[in-house]
Amino acid sequence: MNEVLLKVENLKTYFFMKRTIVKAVDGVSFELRRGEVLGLVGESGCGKSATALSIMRLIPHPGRIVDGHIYFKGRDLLALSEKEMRGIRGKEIGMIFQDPHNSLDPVYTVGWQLSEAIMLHAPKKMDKKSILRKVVDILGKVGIPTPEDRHRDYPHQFSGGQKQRIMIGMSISNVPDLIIADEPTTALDVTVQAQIIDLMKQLKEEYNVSIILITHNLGLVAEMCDKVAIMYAGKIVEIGGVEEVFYEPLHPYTKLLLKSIPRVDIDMPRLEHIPGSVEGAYEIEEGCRFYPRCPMAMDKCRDTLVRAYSKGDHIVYCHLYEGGEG
Amino acid sequence: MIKREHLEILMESKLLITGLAILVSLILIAIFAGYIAPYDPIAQDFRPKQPPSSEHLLGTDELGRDVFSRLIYGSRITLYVSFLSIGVATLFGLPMGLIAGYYGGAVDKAISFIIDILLSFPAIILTILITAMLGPNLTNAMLSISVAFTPRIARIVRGQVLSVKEEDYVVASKAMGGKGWYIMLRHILPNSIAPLLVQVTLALGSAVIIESSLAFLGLSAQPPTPSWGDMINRGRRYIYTAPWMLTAPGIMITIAVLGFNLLGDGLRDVLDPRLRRV
Amino acid sequence: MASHLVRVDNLKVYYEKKTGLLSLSKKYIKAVDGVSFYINKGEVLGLVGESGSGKTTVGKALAGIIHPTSGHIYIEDKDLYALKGEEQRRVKMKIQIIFQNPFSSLDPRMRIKDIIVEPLRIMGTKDIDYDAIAKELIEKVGLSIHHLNRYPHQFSGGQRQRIAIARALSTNPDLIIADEPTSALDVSIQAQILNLMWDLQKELNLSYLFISHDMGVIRYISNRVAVMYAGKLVEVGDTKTVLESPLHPYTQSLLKAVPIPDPKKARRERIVVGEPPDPANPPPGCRFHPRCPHKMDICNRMEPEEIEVNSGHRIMCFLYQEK
Repeated sequence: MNEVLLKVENLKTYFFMKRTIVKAVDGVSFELRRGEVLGLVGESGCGKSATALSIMRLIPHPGRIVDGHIYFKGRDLLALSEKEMRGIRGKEIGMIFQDPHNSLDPVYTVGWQLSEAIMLHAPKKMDKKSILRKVVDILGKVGIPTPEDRHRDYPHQFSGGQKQRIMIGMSISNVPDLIIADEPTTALDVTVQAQIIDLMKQLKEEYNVSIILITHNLGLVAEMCDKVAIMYAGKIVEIGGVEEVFYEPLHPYTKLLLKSIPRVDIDMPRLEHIPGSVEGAYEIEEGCRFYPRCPMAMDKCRDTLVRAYSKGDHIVYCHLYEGGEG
Repeated sequence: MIKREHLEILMESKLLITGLAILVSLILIAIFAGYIAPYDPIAQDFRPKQPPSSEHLLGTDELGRDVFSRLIYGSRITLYVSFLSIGVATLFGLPMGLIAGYYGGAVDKAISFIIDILLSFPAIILTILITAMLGPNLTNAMLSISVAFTPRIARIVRGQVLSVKEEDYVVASKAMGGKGWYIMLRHILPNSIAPLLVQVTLALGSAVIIESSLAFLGLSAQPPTPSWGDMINRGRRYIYTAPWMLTAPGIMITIAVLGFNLLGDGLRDVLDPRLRRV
Repeated sequence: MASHLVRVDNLKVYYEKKTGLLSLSKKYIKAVDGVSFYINKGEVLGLVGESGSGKTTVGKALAGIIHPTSGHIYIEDKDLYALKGEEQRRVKMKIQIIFQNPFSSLDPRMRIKDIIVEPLRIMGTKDIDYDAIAKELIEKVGLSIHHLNRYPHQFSGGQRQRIAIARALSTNPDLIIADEPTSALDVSIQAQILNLMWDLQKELNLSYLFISHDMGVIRYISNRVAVMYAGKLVEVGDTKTVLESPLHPYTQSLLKAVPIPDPKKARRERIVVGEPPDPANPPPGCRFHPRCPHKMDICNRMEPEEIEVNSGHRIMCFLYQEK
């Protein structure tokens, strides 16, 4: 098995609003090996993006990482200076965002923006020719036709899918160890989404890069990930290999979630739905945050701290499994 | 319908509270001028150009009138002119902007053309032009300010309408068969009021400056009516011998404009996040 | 033919595109370019397509929001856009629409009880108890009467979509056009709304034109499905038939591209290349030909005619032209 590349331990990221504290990430732990793809799944506001931004140390005000460790290649990212962190962002950890239309600056050519990304982290000054060669090479690699001409074009001359390809090119331009992709295909059409996923898979093989794929789409996770972590209201409720979690889900939330997706490949008589909404879940301090909506809820779910129960690499945070392997 | 939480949000904006405090005091001063002012503002009863003393808090002017009393009464003209002229400007600008923005097409082109022409003059030049043509008096000064601000209000409303009319609830209302006037009054206007309120408040501040400038040039209320602009104009001649004549109204104008601007900025702070949330 | 609730005949919606200050030639975006279909009473027709396919425009033309450039829409054999005044309004009231974004489809300055009965008020219906109707409808969509005095910002996305559904039901419609009603919602909330719409459809014998880009949602809710690509309808048929044995190469590639939440069914095949065309400048002939894996000579020269392969299963593709 490959070495552990990233180990997140008890991460807590809180947002300090005027009247309240929103515990967007509240005690998240997971690890990721080299070459592995982890899907971070959950509904909007569950803290999946905040987890990603915490790893990049890009949490916007009024948010703050209040506790935990993020070990990346053995170093705790939370102990680094801002300058050291800048050296890691874009070099060792790349990031791809949701909306390709806003991620590129409209006033510069894509070639210029790509070369900027390369030069920011170049060990020594590179001459213009070799930078251009590299830019053209990367654009070709992410599937932009005739890259030797198109690097001179501006973002608006590319389609949405092509822009996302260029963003992916930027993220791999410095051969990172980890790429964090935050809903990279949500803004794209299905047929284009499939192409982008294929590209990411292909680049993953080529560079042996680890990927954290943040998404609400369980189909994408099934297609692309090795491991999956299901988040609910700032906490991971279940984490494990994709097949284990999809075929033998343990947490009631995961079970309901999987049954609430209308599927194109099979007939579904009636969708399961999760009653109620996530509202108020963040205020639950000691108990399980899913408890108010859980069909299996017991008395102790209300106020007893949930522990992790594991079956090999498959970990679930739920009182139902008390007494199993702990 | 004002609930506690609304009040709390209002109280949070220090700008708004400060601006509101200034304006409320000014309005009270204007209303109760007769009780506050120690002397008749027009009576030339005293020795001219007396420096401030316990008898005359801000001294007297070149005709022997009490500057403090004139200042108090002067607030009436200033507030009267700015509220009335901006009120009239809103009365005309609002429907213009609403119709132009909602119907678009040729109607919009025609209205926008008029707006653009009027806006190509700086407000102060336009008002001077109009009062000079119609004759210098209070009514014409107000009229000119209204003319200058109508296109400004109309343009703001039009922009707001253009964005609100794309909202699905407006489209939905159209799908239900709602008529133009119904949609404008029921959906577009209520959802355009908040930003308009901000702009109207800021326009009131500008109107204070313009009115004072017109008065300074002798194009507004005619003597002996006390007005701040006119007081500055008189004081200008005695700036070295009786500086209080000029300083006092100057400060008052600054305070009044500041009040409107603080209130406007405060309203923007308070209204905008609420708009974004809903 | 008389049995159809809705019949759309050769519908075209073109928009004028401003190409700049000095350009003399007008350009048209052919958002919908000759689309025909029908919906029966009590039937759900799913309309799928990617962005720019024109599916939303079809919905808006049916809802009376966008006037078609040409073609006809018949509601119970009455030509919607040929009717005038009061009669047109009466027919229009039988069609209601639910929008994609529940955060912009409810007026933030209106109370829920006024939002729900707004269509009735606009219609000018007299001698009815608006409050009683609002009470009945809000419970029908799974909210409670104490919600009636609140404003939209006090509700979540799913609850707002329920309110929008209640509003659509207020006129007792025959047809509801649902324009991606769940795509702004989370999966678990989507399931709630889909189930609600399913139940209401059965209970009230409603017809839906259900517009979506999500093939799973379409399979769940619709009896028949129509697939659009670049302003054209490329395949129509019974939902199960179309989704399990699609005939048009576009439908085939679309279905292959849908990620399935089942790790063992993960896709291995190479999928279609390229992206949907710019609606202002669609390719000649069959609009899918630049991306089509089965492209023939004829495809970029001529537009395929619509043909019926089995009863009710119709496609526009030269591959099936001879058969």
